[in-house]
Amino acid sequence: MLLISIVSGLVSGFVGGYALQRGGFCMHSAFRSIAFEKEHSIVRSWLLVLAINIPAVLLLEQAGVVFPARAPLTVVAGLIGGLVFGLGMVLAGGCVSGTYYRASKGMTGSLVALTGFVAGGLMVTRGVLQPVRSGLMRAELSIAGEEASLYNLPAAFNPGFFPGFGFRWLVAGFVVAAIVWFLLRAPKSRFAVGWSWWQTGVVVGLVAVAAWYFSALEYRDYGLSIVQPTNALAGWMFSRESGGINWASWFLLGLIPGATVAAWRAGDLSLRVPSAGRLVQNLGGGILMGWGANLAGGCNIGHGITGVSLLSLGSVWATAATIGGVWLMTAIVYRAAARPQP
Amino acid sequence: MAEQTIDVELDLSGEVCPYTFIKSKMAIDALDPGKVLSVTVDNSESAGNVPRSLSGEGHEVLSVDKAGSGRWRIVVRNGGTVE
Repeated sequence: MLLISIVSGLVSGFVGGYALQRGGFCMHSAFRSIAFEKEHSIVRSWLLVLAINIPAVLLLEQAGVVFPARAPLTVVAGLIGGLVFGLGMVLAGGCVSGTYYRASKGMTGSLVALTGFVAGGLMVTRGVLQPVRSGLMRAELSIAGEEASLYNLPAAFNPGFFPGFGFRWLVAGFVVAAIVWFLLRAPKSRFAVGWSWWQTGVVVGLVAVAAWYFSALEYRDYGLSIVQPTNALAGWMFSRESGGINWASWFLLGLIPGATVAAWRAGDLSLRVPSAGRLVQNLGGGILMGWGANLAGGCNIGHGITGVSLLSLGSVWATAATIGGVWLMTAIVYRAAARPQP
Repeated sequence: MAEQTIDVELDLSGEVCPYTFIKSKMAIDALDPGKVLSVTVDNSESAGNVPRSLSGEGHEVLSVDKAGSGRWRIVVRNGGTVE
């Protein structure tokens, strides 16, 4: 069983890393572009991943293969964590997955941001900021004693309501139909240096479905995530605690060589060093990302892809806060850049 | 194709988004309509994002070429109306 977990994790990670790299699947750029640009191809990749995963996970749940665990709707921790995470992403120059695959192709700024991300995460999960997280996470909203999602939302108004699979398929159908309607209106894909938005969306989407299936084999009730395995691997490396090592850890270990090989094949593998000032900024951004993602209980992958695919309101809330943080810091950076140079 | 006359060269090596987009947008907006900007970036994502974004802003992307290992050159003409 362990062998299946290791092999499927490493292979899925390799394919995932390859796809993220070739598709330039940077969710930081996606979030920014929603408000600041007229071009939305990475948003389309993300929405396509969701349109594949929302029905796929529901089907796996109905078939009794997976029993998805939803993130709690932690009102304050999700808001503050998401905002801080979003602010940090802009300074770090990428989301968590983006930072991993950029570090894997020799971008020193991302490698520094990643170091900050690990350090910031350790401070929140087992360090000086642990009490802050425990305190902020107390404010939690649930519906009829369960984690809030779009599926059980009616129970907030009618306590006797139970969401059967018929109702869930109706909700999922509406959401997926809205996404597909938006995707069908996409302009022709242009200036794609690597994969087009839909190639990237399909491959990342299928890897995310595979994550659910293989995780279920070892009774892990979640799909793709990056924050949890980052902390688990850091705990193992720095204090020899192997408790959190699971399928997601093998996935993360496979992602790095996958991203490196993709970059090498595209002639995009070389050591790149930004200015010293930018490196310090990347480090600060990475630390903020580590604080924020661990406070919010997930990142752009764990919440933004896996949790949102469960239509979990906790994940939607944290993702919305993250997007807000990205917009806020982008606006600050724009203003600073527009100021006339002395 | 004849070699395009470049009015302004911008080297954004070491920068990632959002800086690649902000700096290239500021540079193209500072030019008169019809003038041509060349931007060099050192990562594949910026090589895809910068032309897509500038094109979305109404400018005309003339070419995107691989300019060496991990380097791309994007040539854009300011798409404002020529008076």
